[in-house]
Amino acid sequence: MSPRPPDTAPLSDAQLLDRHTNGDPQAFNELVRRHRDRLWAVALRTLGDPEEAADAVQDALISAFRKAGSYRGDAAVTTWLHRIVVNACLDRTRRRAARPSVAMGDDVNLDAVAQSRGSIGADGISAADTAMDVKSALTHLPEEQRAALVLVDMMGYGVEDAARILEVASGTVKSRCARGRARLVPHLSHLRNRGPSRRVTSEEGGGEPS
Amino acid sequence: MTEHIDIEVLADHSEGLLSTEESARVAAHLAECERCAEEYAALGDVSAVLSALPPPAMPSGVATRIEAAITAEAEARQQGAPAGDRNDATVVPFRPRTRRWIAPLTAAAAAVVVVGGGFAVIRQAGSSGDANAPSGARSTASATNPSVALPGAAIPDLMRSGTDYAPTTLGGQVNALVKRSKSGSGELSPKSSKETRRPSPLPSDIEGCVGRISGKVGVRPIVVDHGTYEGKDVKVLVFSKAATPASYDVWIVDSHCSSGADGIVTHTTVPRHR
Repeated sequence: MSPRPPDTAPLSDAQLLDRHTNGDPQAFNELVRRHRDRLWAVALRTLGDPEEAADAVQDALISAFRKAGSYRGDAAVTTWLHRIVVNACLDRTRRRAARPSVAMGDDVNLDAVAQSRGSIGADGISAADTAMDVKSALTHLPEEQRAALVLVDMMGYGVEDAARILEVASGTVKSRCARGRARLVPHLSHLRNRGPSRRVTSEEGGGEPS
Repeated sequence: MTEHIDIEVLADHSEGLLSTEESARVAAHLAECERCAEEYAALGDVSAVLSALPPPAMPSGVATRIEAAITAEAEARQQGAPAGDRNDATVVPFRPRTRRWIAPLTAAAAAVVVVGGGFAVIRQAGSSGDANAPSGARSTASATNPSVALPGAAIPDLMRSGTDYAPTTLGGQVNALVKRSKSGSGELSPKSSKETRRPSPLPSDIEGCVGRISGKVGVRPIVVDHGTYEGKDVKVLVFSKAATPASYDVWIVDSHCSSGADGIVTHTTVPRHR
């Protein structure tokens, strides 16, 4: 609608969302372009299936488009977007759990493969194999633990940010991460000693989801 | 030596979730028990393995599809109810059947005359999120986004013939494929078949591949088939180009095509049977 003011600093997420609620037809897509890769990674890792992830992200973003007016600014826009995407993913996981399991297609891991193709570690095992193993290990986790580990360990978000996204207390996030890691140990032990070890606590994951 | 410590307790310890007392007990145990210390290290390695994986970027096919959905939503908003009144029935419904529009669906209506891909019109109409809008309105409105528009069938027919394609027999096999597909069956009347013929959208990974190859060819394929070629699992993409009406452009790609690489096994043209 209203043209962008020329030569000004890029709009903040909140300003973009504001423009969107005031009728700017481009603003929401611009906001999405900023964050779609991370939203995609969260969805793909939570669901494990690219087609479902695509549906979940699309559902979530359309829903966010429609209810942008109810955004109150009590969390960062990106936290709000992550929350809507994660909820869409968890809804799908629950629905999926309610029906008989369907074998995933051969193409399921291709994004992970694409990311890491060609990077073969010193041990001769490619990062693609690692990605496959991690994806399969994550299926052993209850959805809440998986969502917490995806955000904290895989995406590098801080516990506080993950707690805001998941709308639970940060102690709950820590507990879910702890239980999830304990459960993953037997499934990932063959991948150990690859890459630098790091402290176990999730406190260090201070990345802002922004 | 005390009993070994449960791994869940170790994990809670690492997150500082234990009481001071219990935490001290665990720390003391870890200092002297090699097995538990090893378990504790294994927990740290889980985090290390998880954090070492680079996050995947959104595939371009998915990004395009979502952008198109949002653009459609924005158009509907402009034409429809005022922003404050968005929850009533005048708002364009969000339809599961049509929301998975991967392809841009934009210039198709204009391009259909050129490439003969009558399907584009049908699919275009089916894609309109607004039942009240004339089907042409969408293409006009979204033609402002040229980056996503390629002529041809927005959603090619996706087949799983399992055909074992070979260089010497490819021509006949491709012609047979097109004939079997909906594109080749000659019934392209949009009015009579709008409901029954609405195709399923492509799975996102296949769309990523189709979008990539289409970008090279300049049109969307009419048929995509799963089969084998010289013993390898492949997808066969058949293009019908306006400039070469007497032949089909055939691209055979392997499974890498969906994953960001081109994965092209072979590219050729075969004569089109009349």
